[in-house]
Amino acid sequence: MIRPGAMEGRVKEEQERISRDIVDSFHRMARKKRIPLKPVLGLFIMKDKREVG
Amino acid sequence: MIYGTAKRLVQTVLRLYHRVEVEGMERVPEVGSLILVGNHVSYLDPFYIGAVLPRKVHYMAKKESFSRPWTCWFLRRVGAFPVNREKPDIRSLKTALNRLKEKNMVGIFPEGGRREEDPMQSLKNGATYLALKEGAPILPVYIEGTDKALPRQGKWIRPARIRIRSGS
Repeated sequence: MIRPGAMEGRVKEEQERISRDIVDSFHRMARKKRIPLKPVLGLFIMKDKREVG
Repeated sequence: MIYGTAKRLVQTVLRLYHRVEVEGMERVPEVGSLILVGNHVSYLDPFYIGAVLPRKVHYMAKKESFSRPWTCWFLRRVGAFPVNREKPDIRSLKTALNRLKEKNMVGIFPEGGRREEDPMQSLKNGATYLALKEGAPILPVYIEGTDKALPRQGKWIRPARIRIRSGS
């Protein structure tokens, strides 16, 4: 969750900060991949929810 | 009524037709104003994201989607409201602010349209403006796979692995 801060006199800076947080959050989520553990009968068992990259 | 029915229908499609992985929905607050920002790769995104979220989403949708009577009726019944993407749309922002004041969740795709490449390369300012104006938190929701299920030029929905993640 990204929460807005106080905005007196620095709206533009706060908007830029929130935009950066949004972009960073999406890039983190886009990087999150499933990792193959070991092949079993030619298939890959996939492990959930580990962050890579 | 319409929203609930449509949500259950889309949930059924998701279960039967796709392999869906959903993550982080426990982070979605049950009450209070909230701004959902999502990446947008397919027309399916608002429906699929709405189907897995525990709350109703009032989407800001392009005004062209409201041009046909049937889609206009449906979109308004499910809480969507139009935005003109060509210029700053004060009316749309006021509608969004009112929905937030009523403690609803407003859904925005701040890229201003579908983007198949890396998500969130350039954002429009509507979501950040609303967050600052109303003091509402922003919930990033990332979706992938819908571009395979319904590509830009596609006519039919194809089975695909869909991943929907809510950011921290």
